[in-house]
Amino acid sequence: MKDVNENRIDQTIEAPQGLAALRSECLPQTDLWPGIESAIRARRARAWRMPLWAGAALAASLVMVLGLSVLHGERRGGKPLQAPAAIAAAQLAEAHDAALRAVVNRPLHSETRALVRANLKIVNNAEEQLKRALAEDPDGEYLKSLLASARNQQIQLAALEDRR
Amino acid sequence: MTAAATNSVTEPEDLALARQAARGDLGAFEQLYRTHVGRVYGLCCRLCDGDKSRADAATQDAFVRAWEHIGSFRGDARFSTWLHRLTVNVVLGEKRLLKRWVSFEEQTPGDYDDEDSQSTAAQRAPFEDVGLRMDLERAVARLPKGARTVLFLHDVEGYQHDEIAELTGIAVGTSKAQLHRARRLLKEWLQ
Repeated sequence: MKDVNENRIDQTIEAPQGLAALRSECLPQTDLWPGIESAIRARRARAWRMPLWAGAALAASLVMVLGLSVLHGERRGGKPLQAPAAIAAAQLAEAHDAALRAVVNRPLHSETRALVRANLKIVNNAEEQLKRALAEDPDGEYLKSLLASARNQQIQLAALEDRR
Repeated sequence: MTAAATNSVTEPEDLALARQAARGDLGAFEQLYRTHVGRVYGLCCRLCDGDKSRADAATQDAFVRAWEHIGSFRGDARFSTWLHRLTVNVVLGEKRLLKRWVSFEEQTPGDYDDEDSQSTAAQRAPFEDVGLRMDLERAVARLPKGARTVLFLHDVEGYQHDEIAELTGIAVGTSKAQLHRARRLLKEWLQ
């Protein structure tokens, strides 16, 4: 009954002519984009900082890259790699690959093997966290790329660990 | 919104830009902003009673929210329709503004004070200038905020009562009653 009454209310008076012409389009006096852009960048930066899995994944990468690089440098008798704190992610990845390539071609020292094992554990843990995060956000492209990176590191570390 | 139902084809350029934006391309999102800011700002001006600074803030909030949720835009409707709904939701839905307005507006329109954002022009008799649009604008501006907003969403923007209810948190019956009230007052003033 209520709906019938409501419909009757709705139909008793027609909309005045010309109301549709009130639909308006106008531009703001100042360009709002800079404010929108900075708000988006701030939120994006915050979102990237917050998740625990991201921290774990980054920590795993840093530990592995720096650890292997330093050990590699010491074993060669040269100066250890001194990575500044602000080193870019791309440079880290490059150093990581270079260190791995170098280590793969020489016998593993017992300390290095222990470090590889420890890092493999960290990467395995990161992989588990990433899988859980992906279960909640299956379309997360950033998560997928981190997972792919973690798996790649797992393969490389596992290959190192298997070496005699 | 009825526009969503009648036009199921998303403009290809908007869809492509939205997909790029969903992958994190801020440049693509800026293009969407440039294309749609006029319509969104016009809507915000109307919903904010012509208060430009509030309309600026609402427009910014709407686009930031659009960026956050652009991954949920699947292209089933036009991007402009999706953005329009999101804007209404940002301005009216979150703070349940319309719900508050209709709760406090059971008095007659003449009882309202300046807080209701009635312009000087709106307080004058509606027919002292020529032109239907001007008359309508003035008459609409005289309406209580809640009734005016429902009238705007329903008769100007084409929303259905269930959509207004969903977006703003008021009951469907309240939306219909407010529309009825708004049309009745307009009819009285325009006769």
